[in-house]
Amino acid sequence: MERVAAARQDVRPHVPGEIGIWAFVAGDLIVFSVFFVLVAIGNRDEAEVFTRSRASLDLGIGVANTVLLLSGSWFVARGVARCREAHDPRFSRYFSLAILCGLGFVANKGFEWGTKIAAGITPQTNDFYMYFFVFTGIHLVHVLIGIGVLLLVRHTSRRPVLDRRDVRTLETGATFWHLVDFLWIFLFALLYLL
Amino acid sequence: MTRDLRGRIHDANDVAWLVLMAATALAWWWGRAAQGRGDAVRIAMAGVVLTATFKVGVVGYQFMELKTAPRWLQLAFAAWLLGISAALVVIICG
Amino acid sequence: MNGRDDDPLFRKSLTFCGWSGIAAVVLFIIGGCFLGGMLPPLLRANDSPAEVVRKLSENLTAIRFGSIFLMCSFALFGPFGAGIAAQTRRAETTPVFSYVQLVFTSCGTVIALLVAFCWALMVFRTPEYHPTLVQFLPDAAYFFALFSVPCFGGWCVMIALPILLAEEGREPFPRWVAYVNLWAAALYGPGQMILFFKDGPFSWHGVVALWIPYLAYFGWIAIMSLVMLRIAKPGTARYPQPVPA
Repeated sequence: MERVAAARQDVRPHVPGEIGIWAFVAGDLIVFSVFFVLVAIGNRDEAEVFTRSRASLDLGIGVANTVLLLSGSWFVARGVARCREAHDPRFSRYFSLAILCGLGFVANKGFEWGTKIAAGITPQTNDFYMYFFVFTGIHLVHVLIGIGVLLLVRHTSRRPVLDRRDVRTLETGATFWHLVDFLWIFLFALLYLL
Repeated sequence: MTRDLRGRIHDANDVAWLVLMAATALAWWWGRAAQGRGDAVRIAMAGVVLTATFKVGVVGYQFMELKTAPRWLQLAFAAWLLGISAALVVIICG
Repeated sequence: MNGRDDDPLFRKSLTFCGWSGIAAVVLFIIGGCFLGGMLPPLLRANDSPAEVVRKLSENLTAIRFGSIFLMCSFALFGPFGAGIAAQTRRAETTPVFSYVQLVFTSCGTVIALLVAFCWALMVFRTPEYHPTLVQFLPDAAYFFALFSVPCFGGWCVMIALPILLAEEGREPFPRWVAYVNLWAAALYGPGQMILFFKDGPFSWHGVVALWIPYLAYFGWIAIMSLVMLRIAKPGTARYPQPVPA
């Protein structure tokens, strides 16, 4: 069982986590790229509808969600770096914070959807809201899975000593979380800001 | 490198987070500009997309540790990022 | 000691299962794409019943023959899935996930057969049935195929889990296979949305809810089949040691 110090040998380039998670990221990006393009096309072809509907979105909630996910990524990145350099089980705290950020996002999203639906706005209202609910919904599923992944990462980080496989678990889980984060960056831009 | 959990800036991840917060604020500002009328709207919309591209670049490069990843992975990510960014700008503003 | 020379039957069996998957993809392309009008979809979720009857009536013979090809294709999901389970079994001391996979294989195969049944029934008595009854059949077929994400997506997860949970060097398949399965499961996801839309990309004829899951599913079959064929070849490095039963 190699200690973390051995993992520090990777001054040369190394794939964060393992190649498989990046294959997953690539695949997810292909699909989400299709989503982004669909929103962009809708924005061009139905500019009037999109502008009007977008104005009824609460920008503050969108910004709050962006801040939550970016901060979550920050905590995760710090946690992974700390655990890798000089591990201490107390660093699991970083992942706990990231999980809280994720839960905050979920709560925020639930609140946002709730107010929209209570106001009678549904995925069938118009094309903008169709994309809004469906794409943020699919993203939300990613966030929920991401929280599960972070729980696993946190559990792993609580071990007194990390071996090579544990570090791989941490990095792989972190990569998935960061994917969730940067998918939101584009969704936020396309749905809230344009 | 200190290991306290209070938020003092002491490594690249912290800098990245601050940059991302600033970029989010910038994006918000672009977004408000994009609600206006006229040709300025197009520039604002491009600005929104490009700010998002920049943010994703920071997340990828720093948080996802692409800066220490093999060349081919860096290039693949950059290719996707620039490709989607260009596509979106062209569709939205073209 | 590598058991492959002790078990030539396993090699041949796994080869058969791998080719079953390839055949399933080819038969679907013939029956579903060229003849049957399943993909690209001949019908649309927002077609009126009369429109559905009209479109079908113009293509009765092709769709009838197509549904036979579909039935053959979907029946082969059985050996395809069982082969994956058998290889998973090799990495287990006591079988668990291989059993789980067999359950999901069976469910998936049965659901797919229902799709083929509906497709055939759709063109059996098209002029005599009430038009809304005719319309119901493609609705049912696409719902069976697309609204079944927990079954087909779950199947992929049940393949991925024993790979990711296995000890180093004792995985039934290479780790990248696990991630491909998780990715496939993610791509089936949008199919669950067809309940809420009758037009647009998320309806059962739409880009996101039909094309992506179907392409992902048959792409997944192709990849897993090729993986099985590679494992079954003598001289392959990726061939876990047989475990004493």
